[in-house]
This record gives sequence, C-alpha cells and structure tokens, in this order.
Amino acid sequence: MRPERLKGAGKRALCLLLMASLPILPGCWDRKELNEIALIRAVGIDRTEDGQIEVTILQAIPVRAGTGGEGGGGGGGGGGGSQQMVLSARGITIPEAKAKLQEKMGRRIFTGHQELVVLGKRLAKTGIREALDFFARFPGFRKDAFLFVTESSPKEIFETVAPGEPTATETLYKMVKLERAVDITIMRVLQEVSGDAEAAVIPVVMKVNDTTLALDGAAVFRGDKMVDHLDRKAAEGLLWIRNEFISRIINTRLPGERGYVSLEVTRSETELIPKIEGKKRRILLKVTAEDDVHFNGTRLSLYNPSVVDRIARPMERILRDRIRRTVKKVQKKSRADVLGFARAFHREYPEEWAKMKDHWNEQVFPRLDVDIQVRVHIRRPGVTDRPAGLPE
Amino acid sequence: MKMKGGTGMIERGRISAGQMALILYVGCVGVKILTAPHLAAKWAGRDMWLTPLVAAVSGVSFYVALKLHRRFPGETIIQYSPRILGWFGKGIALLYWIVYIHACSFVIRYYADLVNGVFLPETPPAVVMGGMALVCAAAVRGGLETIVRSAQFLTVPAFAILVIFTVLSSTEWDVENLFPILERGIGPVVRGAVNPSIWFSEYFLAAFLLPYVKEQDKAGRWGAVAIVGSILTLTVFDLISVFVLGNQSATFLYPLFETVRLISLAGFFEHIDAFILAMWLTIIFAKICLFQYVAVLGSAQWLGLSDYKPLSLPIAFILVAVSIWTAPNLSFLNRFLDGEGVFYSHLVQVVIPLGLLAVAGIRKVKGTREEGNAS
Amino acid sequence: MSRFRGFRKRRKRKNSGNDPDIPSTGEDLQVTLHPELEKNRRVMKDMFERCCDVTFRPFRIGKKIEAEIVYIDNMADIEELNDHALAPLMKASLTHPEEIERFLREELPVVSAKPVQTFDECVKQVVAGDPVLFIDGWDRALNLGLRKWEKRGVTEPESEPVIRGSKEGFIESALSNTSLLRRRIQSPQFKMEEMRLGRYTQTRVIVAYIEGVVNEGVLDEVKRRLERIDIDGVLESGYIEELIEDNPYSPFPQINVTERVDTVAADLLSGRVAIITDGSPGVMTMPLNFPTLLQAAEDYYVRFTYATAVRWLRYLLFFFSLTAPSFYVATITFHPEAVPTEQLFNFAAAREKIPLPTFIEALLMEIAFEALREAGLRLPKIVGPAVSIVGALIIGEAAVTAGLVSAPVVIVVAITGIASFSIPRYALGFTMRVLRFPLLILSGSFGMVGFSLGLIALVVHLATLRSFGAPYLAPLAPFRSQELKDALWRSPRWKMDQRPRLSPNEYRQSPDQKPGPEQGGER
Repeated sequence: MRPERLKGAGKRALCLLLMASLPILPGCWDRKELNEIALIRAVGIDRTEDGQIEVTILQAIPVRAGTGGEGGGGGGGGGGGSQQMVLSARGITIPEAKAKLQEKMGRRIFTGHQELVVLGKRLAKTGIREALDFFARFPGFRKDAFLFVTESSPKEIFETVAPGEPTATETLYKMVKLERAVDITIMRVLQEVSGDAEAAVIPVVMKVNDTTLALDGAAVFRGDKMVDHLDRKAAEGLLWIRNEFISRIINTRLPGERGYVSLEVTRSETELIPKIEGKKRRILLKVTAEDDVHFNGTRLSLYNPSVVDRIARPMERILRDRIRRTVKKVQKKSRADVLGFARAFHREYPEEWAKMKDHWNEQVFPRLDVDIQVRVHIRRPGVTDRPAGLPE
Repeated sequence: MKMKGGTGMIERGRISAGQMALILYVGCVGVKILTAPHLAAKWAGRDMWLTPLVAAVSGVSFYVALKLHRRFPGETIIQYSPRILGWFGKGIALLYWIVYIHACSFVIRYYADLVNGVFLPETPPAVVMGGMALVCAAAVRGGLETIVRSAQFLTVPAFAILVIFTVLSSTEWDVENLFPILERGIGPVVRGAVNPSIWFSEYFLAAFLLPYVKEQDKAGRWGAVAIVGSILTLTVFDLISVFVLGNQSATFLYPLFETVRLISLAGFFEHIDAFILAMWLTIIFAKICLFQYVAVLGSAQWLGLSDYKPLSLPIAFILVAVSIWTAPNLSFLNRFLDGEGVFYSHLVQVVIPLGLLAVAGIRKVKGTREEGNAS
Repeated sequence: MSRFRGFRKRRKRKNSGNDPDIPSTGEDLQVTLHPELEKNRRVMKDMFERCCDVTFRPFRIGKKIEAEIVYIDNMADIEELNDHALAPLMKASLTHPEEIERFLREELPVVSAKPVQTFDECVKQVVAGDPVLFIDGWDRALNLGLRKWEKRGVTEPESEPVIRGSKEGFIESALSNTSLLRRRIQSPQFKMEEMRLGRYTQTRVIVAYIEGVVNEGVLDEVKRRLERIDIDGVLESGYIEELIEDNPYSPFPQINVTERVDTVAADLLSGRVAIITDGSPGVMTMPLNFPTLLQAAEDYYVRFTYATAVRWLRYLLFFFSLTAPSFYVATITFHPEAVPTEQLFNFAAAREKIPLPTFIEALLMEIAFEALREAGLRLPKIVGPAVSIVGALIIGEAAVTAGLVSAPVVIVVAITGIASFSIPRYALGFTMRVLRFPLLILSGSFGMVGFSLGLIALVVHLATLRSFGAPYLAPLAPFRSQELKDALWRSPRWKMDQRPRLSPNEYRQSPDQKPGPEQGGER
C-alpha cells in the first residue's frame, strides 16, 4: 500500500510485520478506551481556608438508555439514583489537586466533555487568574465551558441533582442553553478580564434546596477578583446594557387602569455612544426594544394605536429605571466597568483613551455621566387585539 | 554540474503554472493559517490583520527567482550559482541546500509540536515526524508531478472545508473587536509583519520549480495570483481570529484550533478540531513535500547525480534528525520565527539572489539553453 | 516482472534444446501438405494421438477420390457438415483431382471455405472447431468454416444491472462480443484487430478502437504490451490485465473491466481502446481514470440532475466504505471530545462492559463481515441468502449480547458494508475492502493523525499511478476543468460536447445541441 516499495520479498515481509505490530505498540501511547476514562462534566474550583486549592470534579457515569433495569443492576437504574460521582482533592495548584484526584480514581480523568466550571466564592474573591491560566493552557480543556460562581461550595452545587436529570450539570447546562442570559464561557472571561475594562461578570448559582438550583444574579470581577454580587434584577439590567437581552416578560400597570399588561421583549438593541466634551465625559445608552403583548389584564382594546402607545410609555420608564439602577450600582459600588463603556470610549476616542485607561475603573468610570434613552416598540398584540372574555 | 547544461534534466515531470502557484501558495500559508495571528498579534494587536499586506512585500522573492530563471532557463539556483560565481557559487549552492534542509526541519518540527502538544501528547515525536517524513518521501520519490497532483487533490478540498468552517464561525463573530483601527499607527503592524514575511519570502522556492513549468509565459501571472491569494487567505484567517478571539488572539499558539473549538454545528457537533487537524495535515503535507523535494533535488543537483529519487528516503531521515535538534522547544522556535529568522530568510531568499542577479548581469553570464525547455 | 523474465529464460533454454513439448509453434509444422492423403492422414493422426474428441471421417468423393474430414465433436456444426459438405461431395461426379478445386469453389454450398497449405494451419483450424477436408491427390486441405461452439445466450450482466438501459451483456465468445459491438458502432472506422495469446490456449484476443477517435499513442502502447505477453495460457481477461498494467503492485484497478456492451461502446467513443478476450465476458477498456470507477452506465441514461445527485451520494459512500471504521476508531479512542456529549455517553454506556479495545473490536467485526460476504458469495445460490441473513442477525446480535463487541461498532461495520455495495465497479470494491484494514490499523495507532497520513499516502499513490500514460486522478489532479463535467457532476448530454483530452478528436457533437421550445413551437 505504501507507494515507496522496498525491493525484495524479505523487506516487504518485514514491512508488513512492522505494520502489523503497530496496533500493539501504542497501547501505551495516546489511545484511550471509553471504558477506561472518567468522563468529567463539570469542574469546581475553590480556595480552602488555609489557602489551598480544592478541585472538585463531577464524573458522569454512563448508563445505557432504555435497558435500565438489566444493565444498571441495583445502583444506577430505577428511580432517583443519580448517575454521577463527585470527588474532590486539595493541592497548592490546580494541576496538583487534579493529580491527587487522579490518584483516587481507577479511570483517567478526561475533561474533553467538561462543560461547566463552578468557582467557589473564596477563590473568586482572592483571584481567578490561576484558574484561567490553567484553562487556557491545558489543551484538553474546553474553552467554551460555562463559568459560574457560587456562594456555597462547588461540591454542594454538584450534589444537588434535580429529579429526572442524571447529573447536576445537566440542570445548569440546560439553564444556560435555555436562557442565553448567563452565556459566559471561559473564553469570554479571558477576553473580558484582559480587555479594555479589565472587568468581567460571571453568573452566580445557588442551591435552593436539595434538588433545586437557581441562578442568583451575577458576580462582578475587577481584574481577576470578585468585587461585587449583583442581585437578579441588577444582573438583568446588566444584560440589557451588554446587549445580550433575551426574551423576558415585563409587567406594567397603566395609569388610570386596573390590571396588568405583560409584554414580552422579543428583540432589543443597546447602543453605547460615548462623548467627551472638554473635561466632561458622558455616555449615552440608547436602548431600542421590540415587544409583543403577552397578557392584557386591562379593559383596553389594542385595536387602537394610541392605546398601544399608552402601554409603551410606562414600559420605557420601567426599563429606564432598571437600567439606571444597575448602572448606579456598578458605578458606585462595584467600580468595575462590566458594561462595555471602556470599549466604547476606546473605539471612539483612541487618543483620550490612552490617557485614561490606567485609572479607568478607579477614577473615570465611577464619575461618568450616563444618559439613558429607551424606546419601546410594540409590534404585535398577540393574535387578538381585544381583551378576551369580555362582552362587546 | 556543467555537463548537465544542455542534456536531459534531472526532473522529468512537468507542471502547469497553476500547479506551481498552488504549491507555492500552500507553502506560504501552510503553517501560517494555523498560527495566524499568534506572533503578529503580539506586536500589532487588533491590527494584525493588516500584517499580511505588509509582509507580502517579501513576495518579491518570487520575482527575483523569476528573473534569475529567465536568465538561466531550465536550471535551478543550485545549477546556475556556480555558473555565476564559480567555486564560490558552488558554496552558495551548498548554502541553499543546507538552508532548505533547515527550513524543512522547522516545518516538520512545527507540525510535530502541534500534534504532540495538542493531540497525541504521549506518542514519541520521532514517530509523528517520521510518519510524515515517510509519506513525503514517498511523494518526493514519485516526482514533482506526484507532489503537485497530491497537493491539488488534497488541499483544494481541505481549503474548501476550511472556508466552510470560517463561515460557520460567523455566529461567534464580534466585528467590533476590529476597532479602533491603527490606534498606534503603522509601526506595530510593520513589526508584526516580521513573522509572516518569513513565509512570504519562501516564494523564492519558485527558483526550484520554474524550470519545470510548462507554460513559461503564464508563470509570472500565476505567481501574482498565488501571492494575492496568500494575502487574502492570511488576512481572512487573521480577521476571523480577531472577530472570534478578540484580545486573546495573541494568547494562543494555535488560534485556528481555538476558533474551531468554539464552533458548534447545528448545536450538536462541537470540538471538531480533530477533524480540522486532519484537514490541516493535508496542507502541511504539501508544504513539507515542497521543502523536502527542494532539499532532495538540490542535493542531487549539487552532487551532480543523474536521479534524485533514491535520495528521498535518506534525506527524510536526515530531516527527522535535524527537526529533533533544530530547536530546544517551541518557545525558541517561535522566538526565532519572530526575530532573527527574518534576517536569515531574507538574506538567503532575497538578498543573495539579488546579488547573484547583479553579478550575472555584470559578468554577462547567461544560461546555455534557449528559452522554452522541453515540453 | 521478475517472474516474467524467469519464464522467458526458461523458454529460451527449451527452444535451444529443441524441446518436444511445444507442439503448436514448432518449425516442423510449417511443412506444407502432401498430395498423398495417406501421408497427410498419418501426420494428422500422430498429431492428434490420444485426442479422443478429434474425429477422422474417411469417405470418397463421387465414390472415387479418397477424402477425409477431420473435425472435433461438438465444435463443428455436424448438420451443416452433413448437408452442405459431405452430401454434395459424395454425390459429386468427380473423377479428376484437377476438377476438385473448381468444384469446391463453385459448387460447395459453404460460405467460408478456404484452402490451407500447411499442417500448422490445419491443426489450428481443427482445434478451433473448423472441420478440415483432405483430398487425395490435392496438396492442400480445405478449411470449412463450420465451427459451432456451445455458448451462452446474451443475457443481462449480473454484476452491473441497470433499470434503464440496454440489458445486453458480453458473453464468453469473442466473436459474439465483436458482433455485439459492431452492431452498436456501425462504422468502418471501428477497427478490431485480432491476435492470439497463450501458447497452449491460443486465445483469441481482439483489440478494438475507433480510428480517428482513439489516441494513437495509447493504441500503440496497448499493442506493444500485448505483444510482449508470452505465457502458457490466457483463460480470463484478468490474465492479460495483470500483464499489461502500469503498476503491477497497486491495489487499484488500472484497466476498466465491464460486461456491458454500452459501456464499452461509450468508452470507444471517448477515444479509449478495448480488449476483448475469448472465453471471458469481461471486456477491458483503457486508459482508466479514477472517477470512471465510480460511474455507472445508467448515469448517462437518466436525468442529469438525478445522475449528479446519485454520483455525489456514491462519492460519499465510497469514502465511507473506505474510512468509516477507521474514522470511528480514531474518533472514539483518540478524540472523544469531538463526539457530541450525549452521543458519547451512549457510546460509553454501550462500551462499558466490553473488554476488547475498540480497535480490535472493529477489526474483528470487519473480518467477520468479510467472512460473511465471502461465504455468501461462494456458497450455492440457494444457501447464500440464508447465510448472510443468519450471519448478520445472529452474529451481530449475539456478539453484542455476549459483550464481545458494542452495538455502535456493529452499526459502523454494517454502514461500511452497505456503502461498499454501492460502488458500481466491483474491482474498486475489492480495493476498498483491502485498503480498509491498513487504514484501520493506522487510525487505531495514531488517531486522526494516522487516519490522515494514511489517506495522504493513498492519494500520493493515486497521484503516482498512470494508466497507459494517462494520469489516474485526472481530471481532478491534474485539474482539467473541461472534463469535470463528467467527473464531479454529470452534465446534460448537449453540454458534453468534448471528448476527454486523451482523444485527438475533440468534439463529440455539432454545436447548439441544446433543445428548446423554439425548435418545435406550440402545437
């Protein structure tokens, strides 16, 4: 088969022999059989009180779909038994802890399918650079894994398995996939932490009870250290500004009317327009949202365009307030520009940027004047324009 | 050496100008598409997508080769440099032989470092290099026609698939990463162009291919097509890297793989970098083949042999050995390709040929053969 | 090559030693016939000693002149011989040997009746089935063209069935085959040159081509290579194929073999050369390029859109048939991160209790599959299907249940099998079946790198290959855009106006063959 032919039958036979012995050789090289590797789906990293690194892994145990009773035996099949194993180990560095974990396992740790990274709060507060370096450097690590921060320990999060799901990661992963709100990957954090603003956000996950996990706002990082924890509402505002809005329901009341109107924001766009006038630096946030009416609890008929306008105005106010609250909080309390203002200034005023970039988060950002303009367009009243269930 | 002037050529195969352009193009972008814009981004930051345009100046080496070829049709630099400079020229020819052995070993090393570093950490590098060198030796043995045909058959679909992947990556694009353009002026871009210019200067390899091109009149035009194609390709890959990786472009050694890893096909196939590796191997195969061919052909011509094919296997072994000790580690390799390498490659591939051209002009040395060799 | 040289050496030795066991080409047979019947009969009888099938029938012409017919039972048409040769001869009232020649020329109702002069020719005709008539007092013999061999009727070629298109297939008789072709190409420019190969078998080998369309260089090369052949016998076209190939070690077929008349006719019209071998229904055409191996005759008879789509499917399946198991092994054991997570977990669950490495698993299943296929082929037709079904069901299912192999491997092997059946040329199917294993070994050893290097090595080999001087990978490499319309896709007939570059005769058809409504108008 090889085009370069050695002359003589003896040499050819030798070649064949060598070729045939190939598959036996690399048994010790890079081949990894599926039943000899531990499929890791999530990694948790935390700092212990004595300053060590604690690495927790969540190993998923594959169980054949369908043949639950027979294949799984007693352990995995049937009802609530989870198909995961959580293990942790400590070390001075992440690789050391990982090596210690490996010592506890019969199978080789395989992180090619690890989709989640949960960082403990203590680690987040003391700095995540080490973890980021490890993720960036090690080729077997997914850089599109989603990052989370948790107030409790990663181990606790991993042990919270929702009924019906095989592993805890499944819940979190599906959460992310469903609402793109917390779509923060390792790559994203790497980019943001070393970006213009040197600030990043990572969503926070919390344990509600033994089987439920919930998202709990976002952690704000200045540099590689967590400096603030935004609550759910503020985190939502953050997403508006960062132009990552996902469809979300907003309720509003109209003046002089009883009942609520619910709108679903289907599309929104935020524009950041920085301005430098002399010493004054300001930025204009221009939000344009498109909404659908989801619920109309009032007696107003949406047949009338002026009514549609009447709904849009309070909506705009609500959104503006929310965004303002978030901006205030991030500016005054976190003092970390996770809003993308730095990038906007850099883009528009490269020369001025060079002057202010060194003290951006400390001096400039908290003192920025932020103007907010919200424009809401209601596109569709649903499939009916009248309040349903009312006589003519 | 000289006796070979008018008689039959050592290479019997003939290639078309388009094939020459393709293999030179692959030779230029082969490694760079993988590493683009790693080294350029270090200096030029988000403007590194402009570096190929600057670096393409080194593509002038192709026209130097072409000029020399027009003067000495049917001969390679190994043959005409003694004609120009006598025994000193023989020394220069030897220099070229050594340089291309060295350059080829660099490429093999780069390939092996990627494979070992990312995909097969435990497989011995010698095996990884040896496998490739062996396959290339087989192709070199088959002659120039085999090399260009294999390259044609393999790299065209490979590039097509790479294009598809770049399009697929568009969901991850953030075009704003591009701005502000040229924030720090043109200086960093020029510094960043150092590394790509090395690859562009390798267009001088045409000096070894031009004698065997069928359509001599089209060679110049096709060369331009290849250079423009290289600029476009590298720019596109740089741009995608900026779009997807943003300020992290300079962080990763193999930005192409990092980009591909972020792509998800139909939300189902993810992390298909192993398949991209398979694609890229075909490209790097063509590149190594080209260099190995030049090394083999050069050595046969320098020694005045009547056939170069028996040398392909021994030189493959030499190449593997040289690759192993050519650099202590990847950092050194990258440093070299970002620093001293530029003087080295331009000295050999631009300055010396220009000198040869000048001396040939002054001494009025010309090839014995008339234009339009056997075809 | 080396074997051939050895053979020739041996032959030389024999010739110089005047070895008696070379009967047909020996010089002693060049002797002319004797006027005396008795002497002729003796020579012939000596020659055909212990040949129970050779019949000598003595009789008298017009009750006077001694004569004898020599023929072989079942190879000569006995009825014809009785009615049109023996009867008129016996009834003829000839007395003088001088009259015989006139009689034979003017009154014997047999179309082909040639006088022959040497024993050599007599023998050749007799063994070929023609009766030979010896007459006392005449120093020649008469060769009566009354051979009638048992032969199969023209049937549909089983290995290359079509739905639309001719159902005619070649048969074992070379002359029938030439007539089938002649009926397709009724032009005097369609030439067929005959030669005999095989020292014992004296097999009729016919080189067919269309003058003015064929590439003369290729034609000369074909003839030269055929003339070089000197072996004891040619029993199948495969004998010749192996002796005239460009690269005898390559696993790839370099000569196209088909039983379809229309395929050969189309090849001839493209400027190729055909070789018809007596005793073999497979007609060889050359030069061959790789894309041809993936084209079926029917592609040209159905709508071009469908044909193009099917061609693409076939290319894909061809690739699958070569790579599916290796790709699976490389991905699962070296790059599991590339498998979609959910899918990987299913695979992992299936593999959990399997002790064998994936690579060995795949190898085992591949070998089992090949065994089934081979058994199905060799077994009597009635048992065949039973074996394949039983084998596939029982072995696959049982192996999975027994924990010997995992279900995904069974699926992969099954897909490979199906894919390999979709290759229209059987010869390429063999190649793929053989090459799959080295590729599997490489992938099992080095993952994607081995897989890729294996494929590259394969392409390098293909790029080196030539078939009678024509590059094997053309029109893809070297790239010939004009010929792509019959390789990457199938253009409509009115667009395929050029022959392959091979042929000196560039255009197939007059320009403007594209049909359109303006020619017919509305009715």
